Amino acid sequence: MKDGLLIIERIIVESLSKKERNLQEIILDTNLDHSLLLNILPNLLMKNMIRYTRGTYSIEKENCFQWLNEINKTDNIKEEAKELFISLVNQYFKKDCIKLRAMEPQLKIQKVWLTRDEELVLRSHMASLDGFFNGVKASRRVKPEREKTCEQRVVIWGLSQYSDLVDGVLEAV
Amino acid sequence: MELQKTIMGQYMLLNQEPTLKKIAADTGIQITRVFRLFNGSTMKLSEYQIFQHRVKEKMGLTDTLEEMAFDCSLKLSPEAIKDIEIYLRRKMEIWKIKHASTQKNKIANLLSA
Repeated sequence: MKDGLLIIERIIVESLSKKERNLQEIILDTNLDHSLLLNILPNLLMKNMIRYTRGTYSIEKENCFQWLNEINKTDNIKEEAKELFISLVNQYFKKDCIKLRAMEPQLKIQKVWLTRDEELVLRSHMASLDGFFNGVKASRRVKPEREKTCEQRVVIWGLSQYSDLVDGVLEAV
Repeated sequence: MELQKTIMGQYMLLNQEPTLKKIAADTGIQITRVFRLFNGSTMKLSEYQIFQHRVKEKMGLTDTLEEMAFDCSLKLSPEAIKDIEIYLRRKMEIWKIKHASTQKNKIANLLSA
């Protein structure tokens, strides 16, 4: 399994990891269209990541640790993260006359010099954000809403020193 | 030698069989050297690159993906090349899936028409 999962495969795996679904339910949960799914699902079946029984698709649990370890390898996750971030940037800068997107994307990049105390405050905010999301996930487990996989919000944040990023760009050639 | 013959053949075809003098002026290669190249002398790599560049210019291929990819393959580090390969491969995987689904839709529409 070279390069791990594509984003369109990952969303299907995430959808089925919550519960088994028939094709129509996967369409509603992922917002991927019928013909696209008919081309992705056989690939996932061939990779033994999902199974198809009596009209429903589900995660192949027997060997799941094997393929989970493979798709969640650091290098593969790195590629998926890049794909998500590039898509976010493209979505943000897309000039749509007609609103075709489900929601207006937000993108903020700040370059700012911080004192030690201000950096601590920033890291504390980021830790709170982390805590907030963990709390939300725990709440969903206890009290599920009718949440669709495709309606999840994708939030990306990070922190680095400017020179490290510049060095990274220089090293990447 | 095969590559040399191919590139010189392409060059002559695209430039409508130019004279040795014109070839020398266009490529910057001395006319006596051009004569020797067309009479069996082995091309230096630098000479090959000049002819190849001229051919690609004539074909309008100077700034394309192909040219860029070739340049990258010669100049970038193995890690950088791998990054680009992975990016392109993922793009192609998505294209294949989309293309296959578009074909299926077309067939379905034709059958239901």
